[in-house]
Parts: sequence; structure tokens; C-alpha cells
Amino acid sequence: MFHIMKKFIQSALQRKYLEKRAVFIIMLVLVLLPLKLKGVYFYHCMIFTFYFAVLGTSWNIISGYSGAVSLGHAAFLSIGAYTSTILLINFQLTPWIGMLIGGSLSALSGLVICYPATKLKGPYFVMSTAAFAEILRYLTSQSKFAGGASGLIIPVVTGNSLYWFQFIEKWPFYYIILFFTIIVVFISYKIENSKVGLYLMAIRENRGAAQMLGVNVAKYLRMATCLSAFFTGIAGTFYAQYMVYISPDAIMGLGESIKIALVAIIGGMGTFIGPIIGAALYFGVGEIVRFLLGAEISGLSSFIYGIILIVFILLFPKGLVQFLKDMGGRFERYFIH
Amino acid sequence: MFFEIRNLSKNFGGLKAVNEVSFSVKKGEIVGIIGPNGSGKTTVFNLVTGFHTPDRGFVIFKDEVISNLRPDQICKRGIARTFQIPQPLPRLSVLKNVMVGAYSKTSEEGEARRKGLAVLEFLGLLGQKDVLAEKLRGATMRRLELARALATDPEILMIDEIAAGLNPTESAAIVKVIKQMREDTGLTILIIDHVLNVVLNVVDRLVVLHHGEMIIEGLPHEVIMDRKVTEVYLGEYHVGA
Amino acid sequence: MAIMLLQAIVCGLLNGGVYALISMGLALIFGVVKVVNFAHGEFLMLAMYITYWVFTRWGVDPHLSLFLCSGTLFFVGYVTQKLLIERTFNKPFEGELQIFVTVALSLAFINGMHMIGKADYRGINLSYASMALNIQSLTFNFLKAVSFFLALIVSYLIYLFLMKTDRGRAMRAVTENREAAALIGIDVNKNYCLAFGIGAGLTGIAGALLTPSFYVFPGVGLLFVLKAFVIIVLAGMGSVSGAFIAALIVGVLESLGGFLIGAAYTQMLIFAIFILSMLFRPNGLFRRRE
Repeated sequence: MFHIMKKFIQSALQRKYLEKRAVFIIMLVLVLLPLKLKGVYFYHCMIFTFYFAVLGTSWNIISGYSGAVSLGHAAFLSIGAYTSTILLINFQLTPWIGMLIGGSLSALSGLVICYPATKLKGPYFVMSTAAFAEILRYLTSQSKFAGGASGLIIPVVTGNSLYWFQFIEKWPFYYIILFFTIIVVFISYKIENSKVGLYLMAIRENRGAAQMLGVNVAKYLRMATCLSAFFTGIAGTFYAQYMVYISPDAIMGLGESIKIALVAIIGGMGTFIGPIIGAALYFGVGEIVRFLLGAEISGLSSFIYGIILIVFILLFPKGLVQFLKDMGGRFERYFIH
Repeated sequence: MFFEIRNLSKNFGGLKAVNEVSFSVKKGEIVGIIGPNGSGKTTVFNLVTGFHTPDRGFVIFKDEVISNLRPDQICKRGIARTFQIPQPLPRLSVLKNVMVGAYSKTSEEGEARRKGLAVLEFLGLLGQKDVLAEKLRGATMRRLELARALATDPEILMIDEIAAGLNPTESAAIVKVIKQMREDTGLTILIIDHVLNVVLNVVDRLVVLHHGEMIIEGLPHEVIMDRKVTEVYLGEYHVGA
Repeated sequence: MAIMLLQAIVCGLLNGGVYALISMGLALIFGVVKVVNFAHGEFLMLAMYITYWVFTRWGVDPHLSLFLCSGTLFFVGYVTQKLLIERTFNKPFEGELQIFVTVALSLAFINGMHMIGKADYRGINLSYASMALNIQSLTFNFLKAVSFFLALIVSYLIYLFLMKTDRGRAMRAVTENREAAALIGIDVNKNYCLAFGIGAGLTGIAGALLTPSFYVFPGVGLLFVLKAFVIIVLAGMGSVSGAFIAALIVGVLESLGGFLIGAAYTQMLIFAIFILSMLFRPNGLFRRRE
């Protein structure tokens, strides 16, 4: 009897089937979810979870795979958000095109970050990204054109409008961000298993050795940064359209950059699935804490969250995904031996 | 001329690390570069592979001056090297390490993987293909260095002190591998080493460096008998096996 | 005009004194432990809150509570190193881990303060806060002048400690070469804890000195921490004496800049200088030897 069970589990664990089936089922669930569950709050949580999943996955491309940890991604986010918003306000340009333009501008500014990436090591690079984001934040809060410190309000039309990227209900936003998430995660997955991904990881592990093995470090870092910045910028436009308000304090601070990085870190830097798990954890934990503590004492949830993060990072230094992979490996070996 | 170093010179803040070194290498030759510590051997390697740019002089490969190219460009042109202190990609598996090398000549995952597995098999590392590079022992890590370099399909392989710190059995195994490489593929090899049996049993010609200058070159047995060399080396040479 | 410039310079110098304390603390931590302490601003914030409470409850003058602050923060720093940072040594992704542990710590502190103290801006009013000294035609704020001199004294003490005492020399040895120091019998981990403690303690003193002239709120540390990073990079990370000088320079730059081009642009300029200096003078502006 036990033998039969063992066989069953063995076949279920067969790599190929497991992954493809799991992915399919999960996607199905996510797509059908809105039909079952309702509630503004639920949507808001899911939307923000996916939003951070997109951000974390994009961040992962340059920081997880290539090892160039960035604490300045809020800059890319804002360039995207502000570009599409300014174009919308001043030229009535549909945010969809504005989004692409914003993403491209972010990618271009990514090139600016690239030069330090090739020259600076470790903590120096991290700080230069933070400084870059701060410079941008100051510039924005001084600029009347960009609304200054009071930010910009996205002009609203009545009713739903696909063209103006505005909806009264939440569910369209849900599907849009789900779509973005799928795309970005898919791209990340493709990268991870390709030459580009391996080259980026080689750059992370040992730049000198990578060069000697034929990796054009500057070129690949540029590629990674631009890709990462582009998708982050696109997420920025989504944020602008969803929240209908952007300001330097809301999306340009060091805190935002840290959130983006944290999502990828706790899920697992350097794996395509890590940031998704991280985003889920980020919101999951936040919700659980809020739920358990009933009435929200200002800051308590964030405080506990900070504590949990510390514990988490120390317990799972490679991130949850790697931990599970290691566990899974042991699990598998037991059944296959 | 297949490969030539001409008047190569490099200063580091007043120290003449390499000074007017010139020699050439024929296709298919194995040339050994020896000399006491600090004589500039590794610097020559660094200059050839593009980690430093020479202050004077040229490196010429297949009629092209490569002295000012980037390391990755030089690798693509067919010159690969190993490092004196192994430089693995620590958190990647042995196979992935090697595939990075293989990708220098192809962009297709399947092809890179095949090449990688073939090279691993040649060096007897196939059984450890999924082991993380940082977990390897010293001698195995050296073989990984070789495997990675070979995976780039080089025409010239530059080996930097691969036998250092190995016991006689291990260094004999390395000698065997090097000879096999030349037999199988007609690879041209430049090899730096101190260990006598590696140097004498494998090279066709020897170049001796001292204080950044080339003091003699020629056939191995002649060179090591030469008075200049024994003077320079007295007390510095250690005999392996 | 010249007088106004001079005034700005003097003002900047005075500010620089406090910056110096904060940056020297960060430099010490980075130099010895080689960790980028993102929670450094929160050390400052804690000290400011302590000073505030001690003043409002019991009327203790900040210049006295700086002893309490330095002691408490020393303890906090020591414990941080012992319990948290030490845990990250020799783990995969060690460098990134350390960054994120200190970042998470910073989050925890900021939000903890949010809980305890609410987000209100608080301030203390010292009776002599607006007292001014007049020398020649220059006006000094008395409080700032006192802070500056205290900062000078503390800096000198630290200098003496690092240069003249055995413990200080041990710490410098660890900064130069961790392995070699361990080989000659120096307890590296203990030195780490000490360095972290002293670094935090210095910041504690700065916090006490800043409280009379700055609003106290949970996020106040963030205002200073990036500046401190700029300073230690300009100085050459790990150089405590360099941090002192660089802090004064930044103070003066800020003051002059504020006077000539406005505060916001000055901040941007400082960050720009920061990035440029990292690119072109990665060893800092003052490294005498290679």
C-alpha cells in the first residue's frame, strides 16, 4: 500500500509535469478569482500584490541576476508615472502610449545608472542608486512643471474608459496588472534559462572571470538595466492610473526603493519566482498582522513587519524560494532513493 | 605569424613589471614561461588577455594586433586562460560555469549545454556537473578552470600555475590532460609553472623571465642547464615529483 | 557680501561639527565591520527622542543627556552587531544580507517610534536657544557654537582613542586587515561590537546636540543618513579623520550653497558631487596613500 503511494508521489514529482500543471492551475485560479470573490479591499490587496510582483521581478533582473543591487528603483518608477501623467495632462495623450514612452524614458535613464554599475562595486553602487533617486526627487519637488511637492492629479473622465486607462470598478485594473505580471514573469523566466541570464549571473559571481570567458560586461549590464527600468516604468504608469495621484513623497522616496528590493529579497533574489512569493508574503504578512491585531495601532503592523523581515532574512538568507528548493530537494531524495 | 609578443612593456607606478619582452609562438606549440616569483609571468598573461593595456609593445594574434582589446573580445578571438588562484563562479554549478564559456561561441542553449557536457567528460568532471563550484576541492577546481577555458573553443590556451600546490599524483594527471589536449585538438598552449615535471615533460620550448625581462629562450633541456637560469633560480626552484 | 559669505561659512562649520559626529560613527562602523549601516539615521533618531523625553519629563538639559544618549546608543549598537550582523557573516549573499538587515532594522525602528511616539513633530525649547554671540561683525548662534565645540572635543577624544590606546590600535588593525589582525590574536568579533557601539554612541551624542534646533519625528534620521553616506564616501570609506574633515566641508558647502543657490539645489549638487566622486575618486578625496 505504502509502495503504491510512494509511486504516485514519485510520478507527481516528476519535474516536467509538476511545473507545467502547477502553473496552469495557478493561472486558472487567478483569472477566475474575481468571479468568486468580491470586495474592494480584496481587489486592492491583490492588485498591489501583483503590482509589487512586477516591480520585484523587474528589480530582480538587474539586482538579483546581475548582483548590482539597486536602492534607487523608485526613480524608474517615477519616471514612468510622471511621463505618462504629464503627457496626459498637457497633450491628452492616452496613458497607454504614455506608458510606453515612460517606460522607454526609464530605460534610457537606466543607461545613466549603467556607467556607475560597471565602475563601482557593492555598497558604492548601492549608494549611487539611492543618491540618483534622491536627486530626481529633489528635482521633481522643485519643478512646477511636474507639480512640485504637491504632486500631480490624474485628470478623470466620467465612467469607464479603456482609452483613458480609467475604471470605476477595480476588476479591470486587476486583470491589467495580472497581465503585466504574467508578461514580466515570463520574460524573467526566459532570461533565467538563457544565455543572457547565465551571463548576468556570471557577472554577479565573478566579473573578471566572466570577462575572460567572453562576457561583455558593460553590454549585458546595460541590457539588464534597461529592461529592468523599462518594466518598472510601466508599472509606474499603472500606479498613476490606479491611484489617480502621484507625488514625490508617494513614489520617489528611499522607502519605495527599499520596498521594491525587499519584495524580491524575501522571496529569493536571483530566481524568477522569488519576487512573486515575496510580494505575496509582503501583503500576506501585512494582512495577517492587521487581522490579528484588530484595530490598527498606527505603525504596529509595520513595526512587526520590520521585525519579521529581520528574522526572515536571517533565517532564510537565500530567500524563501531557495529554502523551499533545498527542502524540496531533500524531500525528493527521500522518495526517489 | 600565429602569435607574437613584441617589445611588450608594462609599468606599475615605477615598477617595471614587464620590460621589452618579445617572443613568438607557432601554431600547435606548447611554450613554457618560467621565472622566479615576481618576474612578470602573470602580468604577461594579463597583458595578452586584455586585463591590462601595455605601455609599449604589441600582442599580435593571427595578424591582428590585439593589445588594446577588451578581455571578452580577446576570448572571442580564440585565446583563453586559467587563473593562478582559481576564479570560479561560486554559486553556479560546475556545468553552468562551463556553459558560460561555451556561450562565447554560440547563443543556443542546447549547443552550449552539449559542449559543456563534452568538456566536462574530457576532464572527468561529468559526475560533479551539478555541484556548486564553491564546494569543489582545490585540484577539482583547477580542472574546472581548465574545462571552462576549453569550453570557449580556444586556439591558444594559457595556463597559469595550474600545478601549484598539487601533490605528485595530481600534477601527473594534469600533465596527462595537457598532453591529451594537444593531441586531440592541436591546441597551442602557453603554460606558466614552477613545478619541474610539468614544465619539462610537456613543453616544446621554454621562455625564462626575470625582473620583467626575458633572459633566455630555447629547448627545455638546454635552457635549464644554462648558467644564467640556474643563477637566477638558485633557491627559488622547487622540484616536483 | 564678503561678510555674508563668511557668515555662511562659519554657520556651515558649526553645522559640520554635528555632521562630523554622525559621519565618524558611520565611518567607524564601515571601516571596522565593513558593513553599510542603513539604520544609522535611526540611531540618531532614538537619541533625539531620548533627549526630548528626558527634557520634557525631568527638565534635563540636552548637554547633560548626551551622556545618557551616548551610553544607550552604545548599547544599542553593540547589541545590533552581536545579535544581528554577526549572524550574517559567512552566509550566502552576505553583503546584500547585511544591507537588508540594517534596512529592516531601520524600518522597525521608524515604525516602532511611530507606534510609541506617533508621527507628531516635537520640539524642545531651550531658554538660551536663540542666544547669539557676536564676534567682530559675525553672529554665531550660541547653541550651535556649543555643539560645535563639544563635537570638536569628542572628535579629539576619538582620535586619541584610535591612535593612542591599545584598544584603538587593535580596532585600526582590524580595519586594515581582518585576517592578519585575527592571526595576531585580536578578538575580531569583540572589536566589531565595540566599533558598532562607539559608532552608534557618537551618533547618540549628535542626536542630543541636534534636538534643541531640530524637529523630532520618526523619520528624522532619514534626513541625515544619506548626507552621512555622502560624507564618508567623500572621505574615503572607513577613514574616521577624513570623515571629520569631509563633514565640515559638506557643512560649509551646504551653507554656502543654501545662500547662493537655494537649499534644494544645494542638496542635488551634493548628491551629484557624491556620485561623481565615487566614479572618479573612489578612494575618497583625501587618501594620501594609494
